[in-house]
Amino acid sequence: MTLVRRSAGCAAVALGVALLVVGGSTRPAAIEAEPNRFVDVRPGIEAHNSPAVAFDPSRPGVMAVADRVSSPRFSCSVSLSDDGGGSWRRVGLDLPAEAPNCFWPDVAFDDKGSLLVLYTSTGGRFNLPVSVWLQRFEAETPAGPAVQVTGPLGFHSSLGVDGRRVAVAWLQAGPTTVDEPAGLAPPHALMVARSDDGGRRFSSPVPVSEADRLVALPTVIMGTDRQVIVGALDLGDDLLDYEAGHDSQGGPPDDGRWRLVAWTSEDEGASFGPTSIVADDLVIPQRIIVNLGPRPDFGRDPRNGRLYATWDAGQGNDRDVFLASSDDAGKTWAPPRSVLRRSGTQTLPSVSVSSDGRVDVAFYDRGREPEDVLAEVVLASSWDGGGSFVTTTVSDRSFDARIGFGSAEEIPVIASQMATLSEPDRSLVFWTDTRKGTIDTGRQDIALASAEPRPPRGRRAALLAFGVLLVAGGLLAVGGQRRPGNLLAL
Amino acid sequence: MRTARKTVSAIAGLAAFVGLSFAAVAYACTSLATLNTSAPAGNPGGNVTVTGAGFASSQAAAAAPGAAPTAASPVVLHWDGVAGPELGQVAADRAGNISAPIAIPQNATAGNHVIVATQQNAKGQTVGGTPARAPFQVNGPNGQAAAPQQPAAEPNGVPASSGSNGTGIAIGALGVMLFAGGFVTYVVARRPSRSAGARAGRS
Repeated sequence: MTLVRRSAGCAAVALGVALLVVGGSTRPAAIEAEPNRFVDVRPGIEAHNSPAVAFDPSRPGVMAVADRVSSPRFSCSVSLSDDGGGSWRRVGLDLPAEAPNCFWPDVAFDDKGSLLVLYTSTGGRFNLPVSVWLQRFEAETPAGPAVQVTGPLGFHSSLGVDGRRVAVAWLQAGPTTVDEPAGLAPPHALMVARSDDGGRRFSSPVPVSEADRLVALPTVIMGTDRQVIVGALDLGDDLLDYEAGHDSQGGPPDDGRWRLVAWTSEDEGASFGPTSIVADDLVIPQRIIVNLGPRPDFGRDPRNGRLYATWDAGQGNDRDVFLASSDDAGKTWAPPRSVLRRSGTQTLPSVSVSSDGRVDVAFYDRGREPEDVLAEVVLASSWDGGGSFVTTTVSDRSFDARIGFGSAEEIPVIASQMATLSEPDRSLVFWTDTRKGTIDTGRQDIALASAEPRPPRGRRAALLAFGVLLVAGGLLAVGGQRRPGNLLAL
Repeated sequence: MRTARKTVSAIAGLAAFVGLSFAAVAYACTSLATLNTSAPAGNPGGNVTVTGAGFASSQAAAAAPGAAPTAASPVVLHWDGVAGPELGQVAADRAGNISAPIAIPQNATAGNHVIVATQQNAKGQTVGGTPARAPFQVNGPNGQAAAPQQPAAEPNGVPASSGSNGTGIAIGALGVMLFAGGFVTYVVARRPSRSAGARAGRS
C-alpha cells in the first residue's frame, strides 16, 4: 500500500512539475517563412508585376493571382492554384473584339466559387484606357462573354465582391486628358458601378469623389450589410505628378503633400457620403507615373468589419509604411501608426486580415542595403489590431528594385502594388520580384512566400494552479509515509 | 419643352465626351515603345528586320526660326542591353514607328538574347516608355534552336535575414525546468528510502 502511495505521489509531483513548466512558459510572437516560389514562371523577358490575389471561399486551397505585364508590351496574366499556392497554371482570357489587350487586372471569387477577373483594355499609340471589362469563370471556363463596365478613359479599376454583390471602382478621366503628355486632367472623378447578380449586369456609374479633387488609384471594399467603401490616394495640389508635368522624367518630388481619403456608401454603392480623411499631410515620397502609381491598400476584418488602410510616405531614410484603422466603415479613422521603425526605404504595403483577426502587412524594404537599390519583402503581423507588430523577411533573396518601367528615365516603377492573403494559420505574400531579370531584360516575376505567424503566448493560470495542486498533493502523498500530515518534515 | 432641351443637351454632351475620349486614343497617357523582330530566331551573322512603335518622332516639327530643335534622336538598337553593342540606328517616322534590317552579331552565342532600342528626346533625356525590348533566340551550330534557358542569370543578391523566433530559447528553458522537476522528484523519492534504511539499522 505504501509503495503504491509513494509511486502515485511521485507521479503526481512529476505531472505537476510538467504542468508548471508548460503553464508558466511564455512564447513571443514569431513568423516562420518558407522558401520562395514563383507563379507560373516561363522563359522570356516579360515584366509581370503588381499582383492581385483572391482565395475561393467555397474550396479550401483554391486561389487566383492576376498580374500586370508592363514590358515588352502591355498585357496581363491570370493563374490558378488548387493546392494552396504550391503549383500554378495559366488561365486563358478570351478578349472581346473591342478590347485590344488586358492590363492591370484584379481578381475575386464570389460565394459560389466563380472567378471574376476585372481588367482594363488599353489601345492607341499611347495606351489610353479603352474600356474596363469583367470576365466570369466557372470551373476555369469563361461563363459567357466579358461584360463592359466602363467606357473610355476609365483608369485604375478595382474590384470588390461579397457573395453575389459586385462593385467596381475606377477613375474616370475627363476628355481634356488628351492634352496631357502622360497624366490626367480635370474634370475627373472616382466612379462606382455595382451589380447584384454576380457581375452579369451593372448599374449606371455613380460619382464618388468631388470633381476638383486630384484622386487616383481607388480600392473598393465591400463592408457589412449594404456598405461599400472606396479608399484612394489624394494627390492634393501635386500637379507635377497628376498632370505629369515632369514628362515622365526623374527628379525631386513636388513640395506639396498627399493624403489618403475614403468614402462610405450605406446603400450598396448607390450613393456615397462625404470624403473622410484617412491620413493627412503625407510627405510625397518620390515622383510617380500616376497611371502606374502606387496604390494604397485597404483591408477588412471579417469578424467585426474594422477597416485598415496602409500606405507609405516620407523621403529617404524616413520613408515608412503606415497603418490606420476605422471602426465605423471608413467614416472616421484612428491616427496612423508606423508599422516598422527602421532606417531606409519601406514601400508599397498591402494589408489583409485573417478570419481570426490577425492583421498582416507586407511591404518592400530597402533598409538593409546602403545604396537603396536591393529590396527585400517584409511581413509584419499583428494580433492586437495593429498596435504592435512582429516582422520577418519573407523573401529569401534580395533583388534589384530599379528593374521596371521607367528605370531608364530614373522614375522607376517596380510595381504598383503587392498582395497578401491571410488565413488563420498562415500568410501568403505575393510580390514583384526581379531576381531573374536585369536592367537590360527588364524581366519581372510574381514571387510568393508562405509564412506561419505564431501568436504570442502568455502564462496560463489554470495550468499553473493545477500544477501547484498536483505537486502539493504528490509531496503530501510521498512524505505522508514517514510523518503523516507533516510535509515540512520532509 | 425644358425637359426635352435638357435631354438633347445631355445627349450632345455625352456624344462630345465619347468622341473626345476616343480621339484621346491618338494622344498621350502612358507611352510604351514596343519592338518586334521578323523572326523569333536566327543564326549568328544572319539578318532580321526590326520594327517598332511608340517612339518619339525623329522628324523635326515645324518650329519658329531660331527655336530649339524638337525632334528626338534616332532610335539606337543594341544587342543584349542598353549598353550592349550597337546594331544600328533608325529614325522614327512622324507616327513614332521604326523599321530597319539588322545583322545578328557573328560572335553571338546560342541561346536567348534581347534586342534593346533606346532613344533620347531633344533635351537629351531618355524618351518616356523606352527602352523597348524584343527577345531573340540565336540558333546553335547546326542551325538548331538552342535549349530553352532564361535570358539572364540571377544577379547576386544579399541573403535574406532570418526571422527571429523563440523556439530555441523555449526548448532550452523547458529542458532546464524538466531537469529541475526531475531533481526535486528524485530528492523527494530518496529521502523516505534513507529513513527506512536507518530504521532497519536501528532495529
